[in-house]
Amino acid sequence: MRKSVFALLLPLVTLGVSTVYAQQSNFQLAPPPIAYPYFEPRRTDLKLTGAYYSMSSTEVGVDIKGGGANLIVRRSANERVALDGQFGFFGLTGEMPGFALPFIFSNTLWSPIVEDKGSLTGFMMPLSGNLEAQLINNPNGNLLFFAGPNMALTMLTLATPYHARAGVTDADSTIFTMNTTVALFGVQFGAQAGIPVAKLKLAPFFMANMESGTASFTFNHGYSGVRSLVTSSVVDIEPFTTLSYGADIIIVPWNLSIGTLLQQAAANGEQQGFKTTLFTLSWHFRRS
Amino acid sequence: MAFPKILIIAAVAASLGACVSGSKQFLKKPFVAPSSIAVLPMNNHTNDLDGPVIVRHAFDERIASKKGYRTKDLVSIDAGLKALGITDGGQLPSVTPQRLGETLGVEALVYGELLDFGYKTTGFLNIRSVRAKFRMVDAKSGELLWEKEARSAKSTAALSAGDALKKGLAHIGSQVAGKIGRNPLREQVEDMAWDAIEFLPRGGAH
Repeated sequence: MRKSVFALLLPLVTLGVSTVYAQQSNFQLAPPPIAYPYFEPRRTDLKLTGAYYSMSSTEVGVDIKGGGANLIVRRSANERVALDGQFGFFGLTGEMPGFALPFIFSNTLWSPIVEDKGSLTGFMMPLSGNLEAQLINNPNGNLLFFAGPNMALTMLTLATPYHARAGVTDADSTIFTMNTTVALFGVQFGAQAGIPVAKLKLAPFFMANMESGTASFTFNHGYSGVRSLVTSSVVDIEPFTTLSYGADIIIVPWNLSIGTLLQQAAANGEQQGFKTTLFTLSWHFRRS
Repeated sequence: MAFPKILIIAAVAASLGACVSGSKQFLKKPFVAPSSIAVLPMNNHTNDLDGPVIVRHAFDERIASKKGYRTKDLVSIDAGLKALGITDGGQLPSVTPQRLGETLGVEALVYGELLDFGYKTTGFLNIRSVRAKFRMVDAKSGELLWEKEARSAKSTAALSAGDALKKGLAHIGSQVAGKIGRNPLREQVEDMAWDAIEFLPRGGAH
């Protein structure tokens, strides 16, 4: 059971930073990291997106709802340099299979008997920024480089109703609580190009992320005076680097990205087995 | 099921790329930026009556603010053209650049043709598109100084019937909102104007 719980928690923990930590080491047909590589002088773009999300599966016993907002700001100083930043806050709540851990009390091992599903609450907060520099730009194509810091904070709490049992003795019902906090800090950098080929544009890209951080886990058995077999811990996430590279094909007359279409197709496939609902509402402000 | 649709779109894209040439700009060499220009009313090849006015205004504003060209204000241009009996961009070929230049008191003229301005809604593929062609002509010699066909588009594509319905409705919604706000295709117009002048050498006004 614990294995399946962690299998469910892992994507939730990484959800808020999935764009940054997508492990891609093979060539991918996908949208480039800088989605709007426009360097129109003194242009400001601000895009605020609100989202509501729900995911449920009677088979797995998951029913999670969440929502939040994401803000993207981009400002080009001239035809060479731009700054962009992204901040998001996503909260979630719901039910999923829970778990509890055994403990020692009065020199006796007490085992958990889970009574109901776990209650999950939490939030995710990604934050990143980039300095973009367009070093080459002419009718034959363009090449831009970008680099900047990023961070992501994720906090999740899973509360599971249970009672402990030792032999034939049952303790009163209580709540087992696991708190998880993951903080990641790092930098990303990369390059992307735009090469017009008749009515198409090829957009090859490369991106690297260097990250490190901490993950902390605390457990509360819900009974006083007990000795836990698994202690709360803070784990250093050793520095690691992820590389991604690929290309997109954009149909210029329609400004249609083949990479985006493939992502949509992949997202549809990933939802199989779960009933999902996603509502988004975007507001785009532009000043130039 | 979705993947074959992507392949179809990719195949269409490839055929588009194979059979249509790109639109690079023409620039006279050596190019000397004129000291003043007049952005003339556009010749409208679309069935949208607001489009030529919106695109002309955006182009005039952007070539001045982004590229530093000194532009004659549009109200004065229209008054001067009215004195010549011209009220529509389609009538401009009846008057020589020399006469237009003398009447308007500018060194160069910018002619524009609006080629595409609108929405195409099919559900599976929804496109907002603006396309126009601009020519800068020396008012004294009538010589072509610069020419560029520019475009901007924004598309959404659906991979299923349900998705097509949602995206088609959203597209119609944005079309209605644009009309109510009396600013249809604003982002596409602004992007198209920048696409037109991006590689035009700077003027000397600022």
